[in-house]
Parts: sequence; C-alpha cells; structure tokens
Amino acid sequence: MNARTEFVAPPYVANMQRVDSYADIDEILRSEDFMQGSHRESGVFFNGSLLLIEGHEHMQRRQLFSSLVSRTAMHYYETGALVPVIDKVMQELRDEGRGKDGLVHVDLIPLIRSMLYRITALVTGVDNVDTPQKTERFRDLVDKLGVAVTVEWSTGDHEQVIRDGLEIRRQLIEEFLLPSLERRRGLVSQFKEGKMAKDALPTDLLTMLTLHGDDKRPGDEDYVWRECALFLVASTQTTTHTLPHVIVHLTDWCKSHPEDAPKRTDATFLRIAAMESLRLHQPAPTLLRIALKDVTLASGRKIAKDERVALFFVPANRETAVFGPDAAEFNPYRVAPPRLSPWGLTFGGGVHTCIGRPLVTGMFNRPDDKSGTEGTMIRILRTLYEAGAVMDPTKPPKRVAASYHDAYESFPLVLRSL
Amino acid sequence: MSSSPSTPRKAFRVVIDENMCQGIGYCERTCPSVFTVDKERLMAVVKIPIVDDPTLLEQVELAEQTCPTRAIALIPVDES
Ligand code: HEM
Ligand code: SF4
Repeated sequence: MNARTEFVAPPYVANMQRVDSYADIDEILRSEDFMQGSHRESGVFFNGSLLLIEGHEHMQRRQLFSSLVSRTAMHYYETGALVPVIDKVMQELRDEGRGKDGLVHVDLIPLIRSMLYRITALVTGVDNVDTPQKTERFRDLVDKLGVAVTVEWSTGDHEQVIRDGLEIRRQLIEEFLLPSLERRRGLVSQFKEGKMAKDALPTDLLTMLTLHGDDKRPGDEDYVWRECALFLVASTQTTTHTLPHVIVHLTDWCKSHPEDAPKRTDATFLRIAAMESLRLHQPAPTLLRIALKDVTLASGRKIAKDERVALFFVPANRETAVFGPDAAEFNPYRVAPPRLSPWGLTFGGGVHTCIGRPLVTGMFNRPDDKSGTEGTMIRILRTLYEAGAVMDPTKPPKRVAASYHDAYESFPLVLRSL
Repeated sequence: MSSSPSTPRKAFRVVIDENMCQGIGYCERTCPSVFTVDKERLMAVVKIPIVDDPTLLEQVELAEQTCPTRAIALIPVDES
C-alpha cells in the first residue's frame, strides 16, 4: 500500500516568485529585510498575533510568552496534561473500541486531536474543558477554526470559509474563551491588589495577556481572540497534519528493515524517525514573506521591494546537495549536516521559528537530562506502537480534499495488542 | 538580592548549541551582559560562562526561553 502524499503547489501562490532552494529560504527567514507575508486572507483571524508582528514588538511578545515554553511548563504539559489524557483515551478504546474481530479499530486523526486538546486548553488558558460533551465541543470548534485560519489553502469558496470561521470563533469566544478570560481578569486583579502571589496565577496565554493589559486593547478589543486563535490552531493542527506521515514512513521502512520493527516502541528511535519525517512533510504548503527593500540573496536571486515570495519547503528540505543523494527518501539514520536541524526548515527559521517546537520534539540539553521531555509527537507514537498500531489493511487513509495541505482527513489504524 | 550562606547559590553553565543558533540576537537584546552575537559567524557568544547571581540568572533564563531556536542550554554546575 502506498499511502504517501505528494506535494501539490497551491494556486494561491501561482503568481508569486517561487523559492525552492534551501539556502535561499534559510537566508530569507533569517533576514531582517523580509517580513511575514502569510495569512493575508485569514488576517481577520490572526492579525496582530505573534506570527504577524515584527521587530521589537515581536521580541517583546516572545519574552512575554516565554513562560509558556519554559522547561517547567513543557514538563507539566507533557506529564500533567498529555500523559493522563493519553491513558484515558487508550482505556476508553480498550473498553469500548473493539470491532467484530475483537481488535481495536480507530481513526488516527480524531485520536490525535483528542490526545492534544488538554495541552491546547492549558497553553491558551481555556477552562471548563472537563466533561465529555464540553471536550467534544471544544475539539470540534478548534478543528473548524483551523480550516478558516488557513483559508489560503482551501479548495472551497474562500469567502464562505471565512464567514463560517467567524461564526465558529464567535461560538468559541462565547462558550469558552470569554468565561476563561473573565476568570483570569479576576485573578490578575487579586494579584495587583496584593491578595494573591504571582506564582499562584496560571501560566497561560490569556493570563499573560491580561497581566500585560492586552486583554482589552483600546481600539482593538478583538486582538486577544486573534492571539488565542493562533495558539489554539498552531498547537493542534500542525501535529495532526504531520504525525500520520511518521507512521506511513515507518510502515514502509520496517518492511525493508525488519530489524528496526521492535524499535518502534523506543523513544530514541521514534525521535529520529519523527524528525526525519518532519523534514519530508510540513504542516503548511508554503510560507510567504515580503521584501522590505530590493534584495539580492547570496545566490544572486533578486527580490524586489514589496514583492511577496513563496517559500517551498518541500523541495528545499529534499535538496540532494544539502541532505545527500537520497534526500527525497525517508532514512531515520540520516545525519543532518553541521549547523542544520534534522527537520530542516519545517519549524521555520529566524525570529518566527516555531515557539512550540520543543513541546513537539522534546527538550533535552544533555543525554542524561532528567528534567527533559520526550515530546508530544514521540509520546503519542510510542503509545500507539506499544498498543501494536498498524495501518488498517482494509481501509486505506484518505488525503484531505478540502485544502492543499499535505495531510490526511482519515487514517484508520488497528491497535492489535490493546 | 543575595542568598544566605546556608542555601548555596545555584550555578549554571551557559552553553550555545552551535547547530541551532542562527545569530538572531534576541539573547543579546534580552541579556546583554551575558550574550553577544558574533556578526561574522552569525553565532551567539557567551561572555559569562557560569552564572550564579540570581538576578542575572533570571535574565539568562528569560533569554533561554526567548531564543526562537532554543539554542541556549543552562546546565547546572555541581555545588562544590
Ligand atoms: C509538528 C508540529 C509543528 C510544526 C511543524 C510547526 C511549524 C511552525 C512554523 C513553520 C512556524 C513559522 C511560521 C512562519 O514563520 O511563518 C511556526 C510558528 C509558530 N508555531 Fe508552530 N509548529 C508546530 C507545532 C506548534 C505547537 C505545538 C505550538 C503551540 C504552542 C505552535 C505554536 C506556534 C506559534 C505561536 C508560532 C508563531 C511564532 C512566531 O511567529 O514567533 N506550533 N510553527
Ligand atoms: S537568540 Fe538564540 S538563535 Fe539568536 S543569537 Fe541568541 S542563541 Fe542564537
């Protein structure tokens, strides 16, 4: 079964200069002569958020959000939020997920979402995602919001996608975000009146924004919801898009390298496999940047002032001159060239490099690091392989049809030893 | 702020992962007394390799968490 997805260039970028080379993209992402060019159409959902601001304001915001990604926070997200949810979800499957053959059959896409929702709620600061009904409702709203905030890549009617997205956002605010924000306003007032210690405050996005007075920006009261939208979607959709590819690659790899099959429950092996798969597949079709002045890159490529360029990560991350003659292939034992990440450009580069990367791939400063984390992607993969996960031989996965994302809308698995 | 003699100050070695650092400079702008960026190599340079002053350590931790590529590691130095 060949379930690999192939990269298709979306029509949205057809009239832009296309940048395919690793060195050019790397230079553009790091350069101060370019600014963010993504999310024009979807700006109504993201404008003014961390992803779309530049310069000193961007650095200050990354400082403000730094406590969300401290080692302590990462450790808590993984052990206090992800692991208990994974255990619960697996127990439910064990109890109620068996088919007529006595085996557990499950679709990986909603499964990943149900494993990640608590981290998403914790990072953003969303309360009351506690009952099964509320959890389901929250997951559904975030999932639908994700479609709207990436409208650029939608194959549907873009105006309709935006209209639907605004309605979804309204419901999300009314049912979850506003009550959570109001609680935080109360806590922050208590702290400011000296009735509460700072470290008793929650460490989440809504609290940081409230502390900073950004929960109600004069003249732009919706800003707070746009920052929330970024964190809600970025923390779930990216992993949901990229994780299934690891399973496809490992399925193929273990056919030709059966000696590696038992290593699929080993976190170290899964980490190198996940990083290699991330090199080959990105959560968004391209990133866009705008030149702030006429620029000539080191390669000689010229980009005019105000020109918007499309950065094509797929060819860049598969460049043979960078990753070797078999760069288009999956090889978990590949050694990244010096000064390059094993995932290539997949988490971006320069100031906008993904703030959630350590959450996904784990934080290890040293091999003996006890306070390190495994990473959400590795934890989920390990759980699935410990449960004997294989791709369902009777139901092939389905690629998403509603957008140009390199992703699956359904990915049936059988958990043979659960 | 200084720690009392009975509670030994925690000391950390500040290390840059040269494979991750992109010379972005948020570290230098966050904590200029410990970090500077070598503009030619596009690489952060640590000016004070071991930090134990609590106030300075707070700034170093902020730099560690603000660094977009997470290229800074703080490794505890065993108290002697
Ligand atoms: C497989 C997982 C992920 C991948 C591949 C990924 C990829 C990326 C990329 C490529 C960017 C840069 C976008 C640009 O420069 O235009 C980015 C930014 C960002 N990511 Fe992720 N991401 C992932 C997971 C996460 C998670 C779990 C979070 C949640 C905390 C997150 C939050 C963000 C935020 C807030 C930004 C904006 C950062 C800034 O502009 O300074 N991401 N991500
Ligand atoms: S902020 Fe990080 S990437 Fe940038 S120079 Fe400092 S250590 Fe290097």
